[in-house]
Amino acid sequence: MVQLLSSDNETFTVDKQVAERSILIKNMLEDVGESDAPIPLPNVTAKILKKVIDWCEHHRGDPVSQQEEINDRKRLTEIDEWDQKFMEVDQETLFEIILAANYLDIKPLLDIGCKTVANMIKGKSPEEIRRTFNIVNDFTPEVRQFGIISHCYFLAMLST
Amino acid sequence: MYNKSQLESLSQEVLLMIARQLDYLSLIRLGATSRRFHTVLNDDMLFKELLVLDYGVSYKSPDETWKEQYQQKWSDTSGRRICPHLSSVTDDILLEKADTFKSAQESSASCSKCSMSQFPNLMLVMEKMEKDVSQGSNLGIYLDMSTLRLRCFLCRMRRTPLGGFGSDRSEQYKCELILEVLIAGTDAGKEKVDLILKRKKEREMYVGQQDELASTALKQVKCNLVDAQWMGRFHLFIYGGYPSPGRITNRTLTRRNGTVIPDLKLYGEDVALVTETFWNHLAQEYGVEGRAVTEDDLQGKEYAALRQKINLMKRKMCNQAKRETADKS
Repeated sequence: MVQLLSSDNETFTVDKQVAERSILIKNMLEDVGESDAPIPLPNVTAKILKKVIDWCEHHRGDPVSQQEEINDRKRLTEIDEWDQKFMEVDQETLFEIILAANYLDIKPLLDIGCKTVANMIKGKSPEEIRRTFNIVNDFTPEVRQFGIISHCYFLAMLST
Repeated sequence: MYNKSQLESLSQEVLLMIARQLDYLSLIRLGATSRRFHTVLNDDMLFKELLVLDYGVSYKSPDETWKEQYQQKWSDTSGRRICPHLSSVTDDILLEKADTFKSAQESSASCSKCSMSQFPNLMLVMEKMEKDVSQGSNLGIYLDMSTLRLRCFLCRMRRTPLGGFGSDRSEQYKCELILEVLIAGTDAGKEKVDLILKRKKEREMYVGQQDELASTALKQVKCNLVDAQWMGRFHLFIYGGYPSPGRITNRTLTRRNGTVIPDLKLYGEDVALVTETFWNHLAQEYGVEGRAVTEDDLQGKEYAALRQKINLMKRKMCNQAKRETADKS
């Protein structure tokens, strides 16, 4: 068993096998060796850490190395049902999960997070994307004008 | 209340991971939302990767970007203008075939009656077609030895030579490259062979860092800091078919008085890390603008955060190198 300490000082006790889904924790355990002291994770809050541990518990039996996935991009965009349910959270939580997965070095979880965000972007116009993610349009007016022109050009290209 | 977009606050690394999941239209639209996305999504290595993943094309002419090439392939819906199979003519194959070509010409075995060459075609690549052996499995890219033209028998719709009139600029360039290397007698051909060899050598040196990292203990690894922009150009040079990156622009890392800027960002935004051995090689090969920056330059309190980040990165690099070498053996 391994103890994990979140940024807001909550301790979680998890199986070693589950904790080692995170490469960061795995490396730490290898470096430190067997010890009862909890591992501090200063970048992850208890709420997010709980989510991440849930995910790791569910995927504990998955094969660790997933090198071949990169080859087929089409297959990649599909998310399995459990993960889809798992990712049905508000945007803030979603991005915090992504940040945590990146920090903890859990590649498959990071992948699912990225896919979820990508699915939110697909099929939307720039204005809709801005509204969804609260992005401020900081292009100067000249660039905007140019953007419109190139967009028209683009549409013309599409129709030919 | 001003609420910063959480999508925008993600690091470049993660944003690019998201970008890899998007189709071309969504990429363009996301890039049109703000300046930051515009710059991040203009990463040319991203488009090189997407081009290979989506179309299997991995070549371009040096005067266009991978993004332009992607755009062209994307609009080439009939698949007639850009042949993806040319991508499998790698530099290694090319150098090997150049030898074959030479020996074929030297032996100059031709029919005594009609003076036709005994080697009408030089096969460059061949696709394995196990299913229809009966139809003859010799599909691939050929060089017609008498006309010196390349033909692809894998593109179903095409019966015209590759790189001919009206075909894509990149395809023309790739064909030219192949011909010039095969017939290496010309100056242009020799130059290109040199460039291929240089890229290969640099790639080996670059990957060689991994062995070095894997074989030394974390505490003994010494790293040098390199301008990330230059490192990007170097990447494009060795992997992306771009021209040589020029002198190392390390000036961007230091302030006017010569000390290092403390709030540099890692992960390829401001700074990239290389091992000391590799740095020495780079400095010798390309020359340095500014000065060499090592970890020893980062003494003092203001560098504490940067040092911590570098140590974390080093640990990550070391562990990855060790894992990958373990996987190999």
